[in-house]
Amino acid sequence: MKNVLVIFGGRSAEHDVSIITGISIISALSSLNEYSVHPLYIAKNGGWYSSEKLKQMETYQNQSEIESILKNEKTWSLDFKNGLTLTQSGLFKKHLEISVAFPAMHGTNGEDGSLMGLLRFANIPFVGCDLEASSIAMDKVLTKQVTAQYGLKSTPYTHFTDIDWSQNQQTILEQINKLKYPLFVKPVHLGSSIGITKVIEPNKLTQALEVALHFDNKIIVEEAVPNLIEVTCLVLGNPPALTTSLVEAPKWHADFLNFEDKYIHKGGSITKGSSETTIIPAPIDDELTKQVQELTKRTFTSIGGNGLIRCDFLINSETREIYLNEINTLPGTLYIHNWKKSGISSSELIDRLIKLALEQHENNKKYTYTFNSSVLQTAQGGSKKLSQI
Amino acid sequence: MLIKFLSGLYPNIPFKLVYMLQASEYNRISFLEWFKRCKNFQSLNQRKQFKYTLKTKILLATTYFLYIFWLLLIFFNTWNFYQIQKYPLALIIPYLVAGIFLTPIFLTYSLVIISWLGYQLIQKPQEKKITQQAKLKLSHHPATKIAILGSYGKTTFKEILQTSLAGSKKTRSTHGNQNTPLGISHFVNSLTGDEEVLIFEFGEYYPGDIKQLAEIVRPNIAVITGINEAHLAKFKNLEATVNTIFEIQSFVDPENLYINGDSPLAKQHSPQNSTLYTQQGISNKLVIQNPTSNLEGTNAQIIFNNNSFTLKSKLLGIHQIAPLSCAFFIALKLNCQPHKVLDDLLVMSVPKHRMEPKKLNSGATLIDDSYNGNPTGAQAAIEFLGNLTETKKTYVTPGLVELGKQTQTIHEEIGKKLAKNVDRVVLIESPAIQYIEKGLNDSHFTGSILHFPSMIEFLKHLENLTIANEVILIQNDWPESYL
Repeated sequence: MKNVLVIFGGRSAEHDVSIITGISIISALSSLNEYSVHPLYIAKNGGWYSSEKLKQMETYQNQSEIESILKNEKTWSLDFKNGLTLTQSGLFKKHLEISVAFPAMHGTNGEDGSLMGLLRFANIPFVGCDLEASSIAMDKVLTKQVTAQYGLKSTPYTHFTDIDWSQNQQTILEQINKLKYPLFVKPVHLGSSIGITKVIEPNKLTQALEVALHFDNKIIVEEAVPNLIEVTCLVLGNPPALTTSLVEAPKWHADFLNFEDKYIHKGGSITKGSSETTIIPAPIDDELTKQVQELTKRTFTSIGGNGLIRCDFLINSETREIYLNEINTLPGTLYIHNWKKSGISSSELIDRLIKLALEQHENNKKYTYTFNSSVLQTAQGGSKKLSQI
Repeated sequence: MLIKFLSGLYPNIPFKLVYMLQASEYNRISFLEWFKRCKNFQSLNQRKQFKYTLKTKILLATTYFLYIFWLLLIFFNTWNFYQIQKYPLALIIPYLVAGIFLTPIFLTYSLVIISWLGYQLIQKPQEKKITQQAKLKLSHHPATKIAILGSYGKTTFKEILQTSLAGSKKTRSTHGNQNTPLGISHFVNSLTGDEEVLIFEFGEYYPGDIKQLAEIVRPNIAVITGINEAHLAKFKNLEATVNTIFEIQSFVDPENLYINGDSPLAKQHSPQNSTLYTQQGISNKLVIQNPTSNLEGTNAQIIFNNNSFTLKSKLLGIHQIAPLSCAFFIALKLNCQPHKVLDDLLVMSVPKHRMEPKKLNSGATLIDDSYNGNPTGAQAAIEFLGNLTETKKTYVTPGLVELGKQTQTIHEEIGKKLAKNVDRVVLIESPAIQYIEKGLNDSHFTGSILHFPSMIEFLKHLENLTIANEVILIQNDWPESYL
């Protein structure tokens, strides 16, 4: 039986969403007989915890219970000798050898590739996109730059860093004013619509930029799409064998699909996925549906994706142009609600993702990472022996 | 074996034994069979609420007394043998160990004896008195008395008939397990005397049961809903089942005896001039046309007395058409208005746990048929699943109980039928599922087969295992006494 480690929580703005995703993965894994499931919860204080109680959503909903666990339970650490071993501190250490890791940490220090780098280091299979694809998807500017090479359209945009802003505000504002209003101001590295503002009039621009700079050191400003239909599509697999989901159209109540709509309103379009918060299939014709699904696959391949990603597209319903808005390599709850409508149950989804991870890990073994060379023989540097002086 | 006997030493063992005796409906043979089968008394899941009646309180008190008495006896004897008699340890220790391990056996058989004695000395005379009173009361009651009997489909037919009649006549029917002489007598006791129609469900478990019930009730009309291998373990053979059910014909005129003509055994033994009802109609008096059934319900056109009526019901399965039409026919014969009957049948709720549809969060539809534990019902449910247009069809079952020597054959047939009609089969651990699996394999089933140790365990994972546009049918849930 394979030991699967589900890693969730983390020190990010999406900590709570990560718990929801982690618990739904654990629940689906528990329905499969071939895996032994182990949670690794990374608390907001950075401590790592693993216990049976951490597999239940009720634990996190009860403040005193979670505080008790953080206070009384011993922390765990990772050991990279011979793969990945989870070790609990204490007089009688507990060890658990991990067969497969399942990252479920949204946002910074997790989904952005940080965790994937650590797991690569351990040389064990892990579910989902690798470091490169994760870091590309996490950066909205990089996303546009990379996918543009593969023919994917984005709306006109500009970007700058906090240093640029402190040194060249006027130039930046002039660049921005070349774009057509309304505009979207976004932190480049954040997800779940955190820190995003829709700017309809120029006099609101500066405030929106300041809000975004509060969350990130890099900002993107892009044009809104008129006659908008916003759609989402997911893809599952390792290239070239890819399966797309049904195309979905989230319902939103503010100026755009914000955090409230995604996670709170009527359970959330992502966390609940009910018909009150999202429409599956999206109300677009078959031709557009096929195009969106093809573009999703192309996006996946362009960033070097593995496992699963979600792509958000903006469609101008009059011109029928489709713009890639965002890529998400770890969508909340893995969008289980969409997969169910697409004909894949949550346990089947999780099982496939694990098998894809194992397949990718096997595939990576064919590459050579180290080799012998004579470069050391002619190298200079370091302290010399007396006989060499 | 060691785990079994160790688990029988816990202080809660008297309670567990009395609980199981009650769950076995005080059937001492079923109780003893469970005792022999049980591998761990502590893993018993109490699925029913334990009823604290006078009977169970007496049994509990007695069993706890015997438990303490037995252990004290063992320990006292051990001390005696050791201290006074000075027997060697090589004799004393085995005695002590044997005594302790025999505790559950002693308690179980003591309980059986006490229960039997209580029944013979107290319960049976009381039951006789109560049933005589009920018989007398019914003999003076002016209501039309209708008996529903058969191997399967009784409760559903009773509900349908109750609905058909209640809109026009003051109608009462027996509830739940009021299908024994005592149960029916308690029902009769509750009557006010002004009822116009009384509907009785007759339960048959042993030869003579129907005769005994019919002698109390003296029905004017009887309906035989079908005969099959259900309860074969008690009847031993189908001939005994047929003979028992047809004990009713001595009490009812043939033209008032309605028999399910779709049941080959029932049809074969039907007396002349009895009224056969089938999915095609009723003995040339009523014709059924265009029957359909899906997840929304079951519909048909009824042609009766040159009039055409549209029958619509929320009940699921084409096999419901026959009982629906028969109940309609009986209601009209008792002078009910046809449109009133049809309106009432349209809004009739699906009886709980009998092809009862429920929507899941995933968008899938769960059909709860957990009270259906007979072969004909199972076949009908599988056929219903097979005819649905939904994307994925899953059938969940632990198999059927009380089929005696036919257990293997019937379950293999179920497996073969499943292979042609569903995409996935979930087998809940029981002695019968191996035969279903054989039937599936023999038919080269290409779908998936999942195994779960219990229905509760499966239901925990249900949402994870299903997709939208899937139909999952749960057939039969074994009573604890069969696990």
